[in-house]
Amino acid sequence: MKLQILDADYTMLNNFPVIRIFGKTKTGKTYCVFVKDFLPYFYVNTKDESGLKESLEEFGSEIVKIEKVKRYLPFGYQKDKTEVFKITNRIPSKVPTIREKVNGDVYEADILFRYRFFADMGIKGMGWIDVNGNFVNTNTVYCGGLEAKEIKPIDIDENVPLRILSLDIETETPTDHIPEPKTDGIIMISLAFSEKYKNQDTMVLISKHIKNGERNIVCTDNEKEMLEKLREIIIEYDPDVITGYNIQNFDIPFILGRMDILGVKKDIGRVKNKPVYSSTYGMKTTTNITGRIIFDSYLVVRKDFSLKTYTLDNVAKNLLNMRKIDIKYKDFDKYWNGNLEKVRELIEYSRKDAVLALELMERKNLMDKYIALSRVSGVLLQDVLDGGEAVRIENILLSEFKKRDVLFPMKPENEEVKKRMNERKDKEFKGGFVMEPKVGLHTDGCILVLDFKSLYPSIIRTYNICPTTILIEDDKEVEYNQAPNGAKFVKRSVREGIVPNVLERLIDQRAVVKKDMYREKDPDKKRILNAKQYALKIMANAFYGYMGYLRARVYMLDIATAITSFGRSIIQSTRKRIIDKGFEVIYGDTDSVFVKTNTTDLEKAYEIGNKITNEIKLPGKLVLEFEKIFRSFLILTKKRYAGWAFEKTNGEWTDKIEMKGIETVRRDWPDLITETMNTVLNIILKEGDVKKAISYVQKEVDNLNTGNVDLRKLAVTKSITKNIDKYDGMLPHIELAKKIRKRDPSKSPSPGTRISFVIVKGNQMLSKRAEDPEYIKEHNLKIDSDYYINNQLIPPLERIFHIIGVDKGELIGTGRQSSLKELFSKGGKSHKINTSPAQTKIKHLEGFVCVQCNKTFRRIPLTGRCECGGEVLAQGDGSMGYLIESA
Amino acid sequence: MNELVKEFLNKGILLSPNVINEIKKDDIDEIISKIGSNDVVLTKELYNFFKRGPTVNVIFEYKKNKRLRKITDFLEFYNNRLNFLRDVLKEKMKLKDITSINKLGYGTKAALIGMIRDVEDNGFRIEDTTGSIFCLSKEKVLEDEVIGVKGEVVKNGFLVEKIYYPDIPLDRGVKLADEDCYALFVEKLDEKPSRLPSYIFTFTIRRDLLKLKTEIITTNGNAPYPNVYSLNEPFMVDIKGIRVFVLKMNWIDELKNKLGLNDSKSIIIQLLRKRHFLPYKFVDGDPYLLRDIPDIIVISGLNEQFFFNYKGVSVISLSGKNGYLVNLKNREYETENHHS
Repeated sequence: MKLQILDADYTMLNNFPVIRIFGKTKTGKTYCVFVKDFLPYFYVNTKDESGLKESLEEFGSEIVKIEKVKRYLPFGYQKDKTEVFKITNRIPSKVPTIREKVNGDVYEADILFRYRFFADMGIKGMGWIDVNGNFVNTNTVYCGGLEAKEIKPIDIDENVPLRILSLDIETETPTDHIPEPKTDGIIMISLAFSEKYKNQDTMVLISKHIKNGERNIVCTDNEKEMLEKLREIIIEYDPDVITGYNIQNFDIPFILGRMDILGVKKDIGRVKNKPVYSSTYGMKTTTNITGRIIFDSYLVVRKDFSLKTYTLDNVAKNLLNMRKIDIKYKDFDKYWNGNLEKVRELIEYSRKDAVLALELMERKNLMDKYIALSRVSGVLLQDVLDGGEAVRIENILLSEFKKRDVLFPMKPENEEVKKRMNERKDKEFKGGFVMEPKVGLHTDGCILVLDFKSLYPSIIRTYNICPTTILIEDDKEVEYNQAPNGAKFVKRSVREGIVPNVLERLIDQRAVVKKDMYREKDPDKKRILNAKQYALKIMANAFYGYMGYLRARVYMLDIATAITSFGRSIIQSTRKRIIDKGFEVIYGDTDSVFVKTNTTDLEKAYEIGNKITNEIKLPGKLVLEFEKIFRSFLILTKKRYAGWAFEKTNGEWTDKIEMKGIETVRRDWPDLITETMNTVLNIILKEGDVKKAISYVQKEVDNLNTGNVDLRKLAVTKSITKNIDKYDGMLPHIELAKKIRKRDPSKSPSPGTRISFVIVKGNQMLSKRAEDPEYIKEHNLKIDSDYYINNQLIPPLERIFHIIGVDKGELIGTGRQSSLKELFSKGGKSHKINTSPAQTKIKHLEGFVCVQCNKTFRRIPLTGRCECGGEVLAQGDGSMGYLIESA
Repeated sequence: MNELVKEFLNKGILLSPNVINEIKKDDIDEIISKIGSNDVVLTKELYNFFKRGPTVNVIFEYKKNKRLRKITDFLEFYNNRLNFLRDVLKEKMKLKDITSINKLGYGTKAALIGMIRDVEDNGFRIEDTTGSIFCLSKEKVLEDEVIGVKGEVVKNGFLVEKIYYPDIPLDRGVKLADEDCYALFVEKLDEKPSRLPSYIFTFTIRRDLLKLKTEIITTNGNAPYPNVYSLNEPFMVDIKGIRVFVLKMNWIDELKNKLGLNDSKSIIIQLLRKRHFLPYKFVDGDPYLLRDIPDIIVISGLNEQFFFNYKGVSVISLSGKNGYLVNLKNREYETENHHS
């Protein structure tokens, strides 16, 4: 039977381990494959055979076999294998204990049992297997059981259709804290199904009874019954994937927490009677449900898309063109305890959330990339979602090392990591070469961007760099490549390194997949191929970073340094060769050089680019490519630039404004700033008209001064995460919330609401001048134009204009800058302060405040200055000053 | 009348008969200056006491400064604290690569040392002289304490893996007197103790007991006698090489709230780990910062009675008339229960 693997674990049966592989057939049937007769093992390198056997005596029959085998040690080129001991034992969980008792170098004693099995059998996560065996009638799992006699990995390019369950819970809504399982209950659970369940697309379970004729609203007596019903549905619908928005950190731990308290069985995985647990590390909570995959759309969207905020509403709007139903958190209570109509509105609100999460997964194909990474690396899908790059790379290396009889090192202990850190410090680890740029605005000649395609992987392949090829002992007889940092690696003809070999396969495979993708007409197949080539690219590029990662199993500082030293030497020599050809190199960063031509004509520049890359020949797999031309280019410092980029695809030019390191999308910036920045860059880069850009800014400044601006563009929105009285210090949105409450206690904002505010003119501290845009309009209040001009608009613009020789004064228009001195000398336009701070004596110290941006502090910052650069003074009795009378 | 007697009488000092023959001529001026303007009957014991010299050394005593403060005074205050505790932490975190906050890169693991600026529900803001960053952590810290953190820079700030406190070094050893020497610690002394110790530490003492022929260290009122040290708490004294830190703590409830702990002993241990008893209030001279680690700490105001040791420091909490009689040679103690 052919199955695609979804998940795997193991259990103990009669003191022997049994591996359980959960898989699905093409027709959609789920099976659990039981594998017996596979035992854990590890290796020990020691000369003391009797000592070894003695130390293992205490484990008695748990040790199944001690064999002598020949293997290569992991680090350094070796001509011959070393004799080591392979110790097979019976109980996987005992391996850590056994390895502690053994004297000698231990290898592969920390491999997770399921991955040990996978590596030995050549099996991969989300890969396909062909199983020969017997069906078993087992009571231990919620799907069919198959006892395997023989398992073979097979290559099938398809993915089985996955059954997805999306869920979303609504809880009780206390006003003084964020809901938590200990004290607050769940009132409804919404479910959305990818395949119909009982002929329904969605279902909402509620914890009370209402007059209801609909099949997709399920009423229960109480919360406990509702949770039991949820468990029933999960077991019956048997989803492969459980998804939702922020379910890992909220919905699932909440459900499990309530199940604990109410005494509902938590075996919602595919293994009967195995309860599901959440574990929290720092701020992250993860849950593992055996046999099923938890796919939190929030975590994935946050990683894969760049948005201003990641609320479900904003994400749905931007990615799906759909919106949430609008019910405010603080009104939940009213709806839940209201009349039938109100309850049903709340039900639909909740239902929509589950639907949106499912739509996100399905319409945006969020899983594609992760399934591809799982298939390429061999790591199970859940571990790909929860883990990092190191896990994926190490899984590939584990099986490659095994194929070549090389021992795989253990994860380093803290002592070892400390040693590595110190070594790094001592040897002054240098990264990529970044050239000091020719700062300024370049419009008198096109800038060509030449980059080295996959520089580090190419270096690894060209010079055969690998822990198994590095020469540790001097060997005059063998041929080697030497890196600029002195490290030597045997040539490929002597022994091909494992890492170069893996990289070669990944890169070659990617080229093939890309070709297939361009040729493919079927959009679904094309999508899958795209995900695959992308996964191959990410994995190839991650190898360099991995080898320099302090906690990598296969870490050698000399190797990481060798790679970067090659990189530095290659880019520097390439730069020299380009300069020798008569061109100017205005910038370079690790793997790309920015070459300035003396023509403003795109076609001529394109020719020059091709000519240069054709003429510069590089060794081995290193390739210099030319893809992009900047018609105009503004560079501020290293790694911060913007330019008008042109690329030729299929004979046609496409253009766009490209930016690096220049902030135009910041979460707590009003839209006005972002828009102005983008417009200014467009004018400068596309039109080359600096004067026009200056006038544009001056106009915006004038608009702010005259109040002629759309308030929505100035508003900043922040969430309230707890009771507004529990906040320390002064925050603008909280002060506004307090004002709103004072004006109308029934409209008091509660935890979970988002507040938009604009700063208005006034005497008080900044935070106290935050006001609701509607209220501003109604009461005709004036915005604090000074603040928006000097603290919000001008600073980022100044950084850009400064480079082209325009100073702040010009931007503001009249060359006049608001300064503290001026404010005080003119008696100030809107400040209550009559005396200068130098003379004011604060009698009752309330705190400290920045004179520039009015930010308040509980105590003086250690530098005496605010983050904005302004000086911080003491405040109290309505004034600010330098002198404080002691209380 | 004896010339000696007259001379002393002129200074308001009455000589007890048993001392007249003891006084050496060379000592007269010294004794008179030591007694000062106090009305005292100079007995033989008292005379010997003066000759021997005080064995109580005041290391520091809190003095409230009634003067105009400048912003720079505050800056100096906090930076001095940070600098001192940073050195302690650097020593402790020896093997960690300590970065300054302005050099933190996204996605990197790092260790830093700083002062807590603000505390919130899901973490705290830590600050050094190059900047500040928000740390995600569930551990409860106090404002303005100085800690080291190890962790990783993530999207919302710094995800804390471990927090380092300055703490008291393990290898300090226990400071002991060379021979048997007793000190009595009691909050309120209103009757003569059964055995007279060499030192009495108390917060309130009945006036007539001030005449006891022993060194009395107290926090109340005028001390007309030279064997009585009346000091403003918090203060630290040195007796026979042993440092005793005395303070009145009326902020224990605040700490219970801030640290989420109910047990005073655990709280005191946390404060010792922080090397500060009250970091979040500005107090002239920063007397609650444990620069020199005391050997004995005496606390009043907790309304609890206990004695425990932490890394060589004995912590004594006093309440009412019950005291501890401690042998400074071995830190063994007996409780002295007085009847009311």
